[in-house]
Amino acid sequence: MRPNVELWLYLGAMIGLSHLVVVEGHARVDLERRLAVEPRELYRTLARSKSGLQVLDVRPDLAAGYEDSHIPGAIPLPGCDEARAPEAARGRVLRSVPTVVVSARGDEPEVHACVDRFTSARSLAGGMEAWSAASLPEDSGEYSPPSARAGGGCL
Amino acid sequence: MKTQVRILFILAILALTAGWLSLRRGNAALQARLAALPPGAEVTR
Repeated sequence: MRPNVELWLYLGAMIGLSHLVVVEGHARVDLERRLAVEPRELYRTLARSKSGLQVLDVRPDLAAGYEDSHIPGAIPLPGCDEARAPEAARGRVLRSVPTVVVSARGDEPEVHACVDRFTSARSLAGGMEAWSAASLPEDSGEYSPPSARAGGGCL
Repeated sequence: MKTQVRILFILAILALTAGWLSLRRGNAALQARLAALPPGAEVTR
């Protein structure tokens, strides 16, 4: 086969396959948005040391919600509004990181609006109530950013 | 075309194919989970 023809065949195949990967990737993001993550599934993901997942606690009342009990490693973002977040949590929320949005019950309309703000995000099915009901680990108290010297996962 | 370049192209095409098939399988599983949800349980906007 002539080298030029072969080169274009390879390049064409790579471009075509890249397009298919991008299309399936977009479909994945859309499907995940429509499917809430179950508490035990989230726990298993967080238990892996390099999950690369961002957990946002969007319950509106910081004292009665986040500070009373929250998922270990979760970032408080009351009402999904960074202006209402504690000083230490501001600037820690990244839009392009895979995200799980945690509310009180998981079915509040504002949760879905919050999910839409992120490139890849899901809500927690049943919210914090379902997490507690499943007897999964919880933390309490104010948010403190993870230490640079700390190792392993957040659980 | 040099053999090494040809091998690199083929490996890249195989990797892309594997990634695409893996995404397709994952999406099919997610679609099955969505279809199995009781009415109203799907996250809608």
